[in-house]
Amino acid sequence: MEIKLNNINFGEKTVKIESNSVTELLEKLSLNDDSVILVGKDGKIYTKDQSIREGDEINVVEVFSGG
Amino acid sequence: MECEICGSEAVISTNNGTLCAEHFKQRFEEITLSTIKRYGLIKKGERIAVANSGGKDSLSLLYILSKYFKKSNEIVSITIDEGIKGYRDKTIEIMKDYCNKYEVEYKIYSYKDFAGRTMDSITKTRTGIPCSACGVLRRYLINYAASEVHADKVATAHNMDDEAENVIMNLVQNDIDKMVRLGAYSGIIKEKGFVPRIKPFLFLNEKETMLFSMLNGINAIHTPCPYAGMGFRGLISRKIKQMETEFTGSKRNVINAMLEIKKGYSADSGIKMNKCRYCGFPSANDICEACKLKEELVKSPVV
Repeated sequence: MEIKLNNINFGEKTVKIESNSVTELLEKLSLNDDSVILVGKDGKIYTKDQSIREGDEINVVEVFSGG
Repeated sequence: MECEICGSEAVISTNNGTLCAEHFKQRFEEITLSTIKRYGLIKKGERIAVANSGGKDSLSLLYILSKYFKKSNEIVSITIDEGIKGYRDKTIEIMKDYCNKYEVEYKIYSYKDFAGRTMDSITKTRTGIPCSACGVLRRYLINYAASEVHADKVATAHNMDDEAENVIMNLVQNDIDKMVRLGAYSGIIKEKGFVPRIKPFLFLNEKETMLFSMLNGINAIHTPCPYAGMGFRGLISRKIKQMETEFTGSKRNVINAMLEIKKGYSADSGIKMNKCRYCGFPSANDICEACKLKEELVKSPVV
């Protein structure tokens, strides 16, 4: 399944994952659940156990120190 | 995952709970208030300076302190302008908008005014990671600013991730004296000129702080400092997040261990304070770190 992603560092990109799981997506991006907030186009926030649907567009907001 | 309170779809799952948006916001405020109560961080009538960069964490802190303490306390916002173009100038505008909108008094203090140099300029002539020089100047100016606005305490938005990083860094550097100055009520030294620092977000994760600001529509830019993530702290920060993902509660355990060790130290356990020869503020040495750095910067060429 193809997922469209947007991130301040890597910009826009499409990634392919085998399953529909957030955990697999995070592994593919080499990100930890504690270091990221995944926000859908409609404002939905994805937790690591949730499913992603084909065509979902996700903003990958990285958790950073400071501010 | 379902919210442990109402069963609706959860937006977060941490050691502080698995919660939907509404119950998460509620829990976040409850944890902040319980930390304040448990450690006696804010007493009625005290003037509290909030160290406010205009970023996600400090605006969230200002939001909660204004919401719950504006009637019983005076809240003033202090901002340190490091001089980081394209970053701090943006957050300062956000900070001003927020303070103007919610009628919070604010003051800005800059590296340029204190040391004659911006952070951008310092990085061009000084070797080593920028965070070490920046940390010295920021800590000094936060205390200076808090003194100048006659604050009884200065509240910072340091969270569990920041504190766990500090604990591990101090352990790796075998600096227990420095480590025991951490905690919700920071500094075990009682000294005139030191404004006590309080950390109401001590038991909240960085991810929670970020999510709280997003869910409350706090208009913060969600981008890190361009100089962040380098060196030892950057490494520890990444490792801690990895550790927390694999072993939920690790950060909390690191902090709890530090708090246990801290119990064995008294307020005057071996740390002798002088006054800085130049600025007169408390210092462990004849000249404080900030004035030493200022001296070095004045001698180096301005770029």
